[in-house]
Amino acid sequence: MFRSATKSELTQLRRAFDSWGIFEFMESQVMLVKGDPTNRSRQVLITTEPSKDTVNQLVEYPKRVGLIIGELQNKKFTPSLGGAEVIAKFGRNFPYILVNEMAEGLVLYGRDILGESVLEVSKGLGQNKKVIILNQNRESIGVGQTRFSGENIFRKGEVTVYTLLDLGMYLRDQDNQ
Amino acid sequence: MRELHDKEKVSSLKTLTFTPTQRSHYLATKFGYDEWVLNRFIHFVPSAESLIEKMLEPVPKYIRTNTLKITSKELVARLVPKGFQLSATILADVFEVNASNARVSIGATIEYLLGYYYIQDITSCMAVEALDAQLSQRVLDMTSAPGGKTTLIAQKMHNTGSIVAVEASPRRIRPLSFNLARCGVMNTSIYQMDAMNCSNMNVRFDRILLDAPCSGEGMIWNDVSRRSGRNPDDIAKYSQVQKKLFATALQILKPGGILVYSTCSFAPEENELVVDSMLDRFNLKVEPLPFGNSGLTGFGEMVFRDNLELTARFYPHIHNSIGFYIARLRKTD
Repeated sequence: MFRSATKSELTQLRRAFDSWGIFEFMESQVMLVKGDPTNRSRQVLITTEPSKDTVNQLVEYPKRVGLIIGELQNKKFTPSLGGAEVIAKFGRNFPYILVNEMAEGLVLYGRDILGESVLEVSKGLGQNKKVIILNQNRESIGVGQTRFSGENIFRKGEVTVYTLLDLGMYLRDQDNQ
Repeated sequence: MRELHDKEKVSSLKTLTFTPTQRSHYLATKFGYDEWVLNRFIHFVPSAESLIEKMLEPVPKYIRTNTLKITSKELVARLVPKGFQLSATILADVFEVNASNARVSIGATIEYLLGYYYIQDITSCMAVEALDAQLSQRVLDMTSAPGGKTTLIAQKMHNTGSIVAVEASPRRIRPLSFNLARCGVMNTSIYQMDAMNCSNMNVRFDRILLDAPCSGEGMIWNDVSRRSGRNPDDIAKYSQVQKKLFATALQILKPGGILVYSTCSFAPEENELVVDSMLDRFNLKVEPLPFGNSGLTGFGEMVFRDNLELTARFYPHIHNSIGFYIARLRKTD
């Protein structure tokens, strides 16, 4: 089922959107949630008002609506690739790491990130923090999770950021069809 | 429902075939085609031998800028330094690609993964051009996977309004879904259903794109296995399915709305004959298209309405594209 967020979900999501720097952007969007409120995991998506109306009017049940921006799981929001792109484009002061060209290529194959490949990180980045992985054009190429905090993210010879999602998934998934 | 029109009766009996000639035998043997296929080409394709020879050359590759994310100028500035040569086409945001100097394939660049462009034949883009989808309209794409035309419709609508993307095959839903996500499409909902059941939908549409399932004759260039091993009955069967889908679409098209019918087949039985039979049954106006060769007004013993000239045919040797057909019809009641 595709539905509006409940009051409790809205509180959780607004808090998450604030931390990802897209609170203001999201306030102007038509947001829906897929799945029963009691489900452990629910997709969060944005669409248009006419598309939402169409979905409500049709008796058929859609497989997908709009652009999935993330997942709400155990009160925590994790951005999807679509959400990461929204954050990179419209977010302010969001957690990120910026990688060099070689790492960009490796990330697109799902590889984790070595410290020496990291060129820049957002301020106050903690350990086990979800981050948007940016390339040198400041485009989102994935979502990662830090292994270390602060300057340790630049530590040479070690994986310092795990790659959770990457744009290469679009290709790999098609290849597996 | 009225009685079947005479022309439909003819087509429902068999696909039109012609008496073999020395020329058809020679060409079929030389180029590896079933003779009945080639003999039909001789009867309606302008300069059939040029068509056959053209389809021995490499297939051209086209990309379409996803203007939801980037401008064509910016895209060109990123792809050219990577060794891709991009040539302009008659469509503003569509380029023919020469990748002979590129280090990676056009389907494996970061720009592709970022959804900055879509790889699709120029004729597919023309079908969407013909649809003329406007901002905030409600649009139905009856056979949407893998999403090339759907994402272009969303682009034309600037991600406003509502697109209903229908796809029957569960296996093809995932690539469709990925392509919509990759291209940043927000205004589309995907329904897994047989397009024949679209008439049950309790909404009406301003625009409908029916890129109908077809024999795929126009894809021979991409897939040489299609040169032989097919049966004339296949075309007749597809023609019947196409008529049913067409009639289904018209039931849920708003008065004044536009239906674009397209196939990747050369066969008149899948193109002009289908449209002609719909003109018998429904109040429709055939609207002109600014591209392609004129549609046929006859084929063998079949005679079609004169205004089918307003529909468009695309041939590899003339348009440097796959074989394609587009008709644009406005519902007048």
